[in-house]
Amino acid sequence: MPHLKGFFAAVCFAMMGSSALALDAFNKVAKARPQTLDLSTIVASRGGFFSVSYSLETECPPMNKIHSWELLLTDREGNPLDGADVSIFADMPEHLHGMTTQAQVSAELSPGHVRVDGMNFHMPGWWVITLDVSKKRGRDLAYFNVLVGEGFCHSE
Amino acid sequence: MSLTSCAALAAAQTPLWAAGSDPYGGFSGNKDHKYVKALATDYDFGLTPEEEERAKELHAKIVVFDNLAEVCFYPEFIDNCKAGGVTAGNMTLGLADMFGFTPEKSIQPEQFWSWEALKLDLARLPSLARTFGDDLMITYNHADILQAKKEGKVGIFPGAQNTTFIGRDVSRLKQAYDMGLRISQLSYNDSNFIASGSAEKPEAQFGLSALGERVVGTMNDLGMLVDTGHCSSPTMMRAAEVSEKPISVSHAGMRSKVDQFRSITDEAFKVVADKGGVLGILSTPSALNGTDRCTVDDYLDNIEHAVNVGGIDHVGYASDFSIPLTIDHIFSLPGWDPEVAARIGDFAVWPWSDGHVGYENNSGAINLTRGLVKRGYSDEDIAKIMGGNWMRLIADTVG
Repeated sequence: MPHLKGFFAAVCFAMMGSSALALDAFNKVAKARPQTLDLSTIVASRGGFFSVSYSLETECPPMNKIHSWELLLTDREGNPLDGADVSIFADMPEHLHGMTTQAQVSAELSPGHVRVDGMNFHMPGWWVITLDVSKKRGRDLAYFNVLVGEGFCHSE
Repeated sequence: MSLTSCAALAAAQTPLWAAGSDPYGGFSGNKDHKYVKALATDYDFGLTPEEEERAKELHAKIVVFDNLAEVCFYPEFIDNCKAGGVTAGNMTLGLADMFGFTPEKSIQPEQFWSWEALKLDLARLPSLARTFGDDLMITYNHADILQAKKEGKVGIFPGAQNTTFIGRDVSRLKQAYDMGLRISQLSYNDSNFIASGSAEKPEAQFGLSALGERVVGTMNDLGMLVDTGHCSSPTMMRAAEVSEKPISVSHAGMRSKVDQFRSITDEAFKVVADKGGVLGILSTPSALNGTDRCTVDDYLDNIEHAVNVGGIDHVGYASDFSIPLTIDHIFSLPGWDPEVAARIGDFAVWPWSDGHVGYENNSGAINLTRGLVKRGYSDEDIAKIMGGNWMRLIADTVG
């Protein structure tokens, strides 16, 4: 019964950790890479709750190497967003998979300045990095586009 | 209402559906999940103080109706609806004896949308209303919903998401109506004798069967709202065509926004709207932006898109929450035939509410009004989207 095992393994895997849900059955939807991508290293969150920039030890994100990011978070007024809960995810929209690692914040270096360890882009191409940032009852998402293994990766 | 008062109520008057001494009233499926109790994000739209005040006053004044508020009742649902300013909502019954649900139970395939399960849930409505009567009422029609608004109670509009409960016996619709059912989808994701579901292969999406046309006619006669939320777009169109009354697409995405199967085509939406029907945009992140995370701004983008396609008089909202339920409880081993489960849907991604920032549970409804204010909608149009269109549809069909 490999199909049965596979199905329930996928279900169980999908539900590990959390389980409040909408009673529906959806998959992520693959997206083709847009002709032009915003490769900014500083972005505002979707609703403007915060802004964030990232920096790396290298010019571009390395491929197939576990590395770290540093994030600088500010609030709507430009003040450091300190003490926020930060989750980071990376996905390849064309391929519907994420990283092989679970990245997480390892330290708040200074107010609003955090280090993220465990980033690993194991394939070349277009990646979308999603930041889920919350503080008290405030919460928002921000997105970075990055290109891996293509010779250029971001704009200033 | 607090959990403490729930416990007191349970101790003083143990309802039929509250087995044992569980202070949670028997609904312990996922009580530790953050958004059973936590309020949704106070989403920062960048509103001015004047805009915030306008949104707050307007939201308090209008009828807010959610055409798929919950699938599994849990006591904090009432608190969450009150915090979000939700007047009433369609609550799904009969998925599998949901009012008798305990963590020890698993949902077996023979229960799934069965007549027995629906009857059990409908029979428990009076007990539910008695137990939580200070804060909740069962709303069977338009007037009841207005009464709930007047009394500051949360209204539950009894609904089902499949008509498989009738088998081949259409008279069961009358029995279900008499027990309180007021809205039912013609099919779930998979097809049945009556209608083709959204997960059906495109070449097999037959729309409505002859039995299905009879079911629609019977529902019209009874005053039961015909719903096609999970149906295929051909079913939505055919139901709108044969129904003497406007129909509901309770909760679906827009195919022209995100191309996934649980969505309505623009063509189908226009047919439904032309006959006076209403579409509820659901809150599932993957339906809104194709991923497992989104914000309430994405929700509003989809609502605006629907308004542009079908018109301001034909769009509402529908959460499609099942906050206290885990997937283990829905498709527990070992009873489920994998072929049956696979036909219902592909669960490689099962989106959970944590992923919808600003709409993590029903308490986020006020964020929709706040966001519509930010986007420049008039009070009249906000009232339509937040419940007015559903209220008009309920008045036209149920009474």
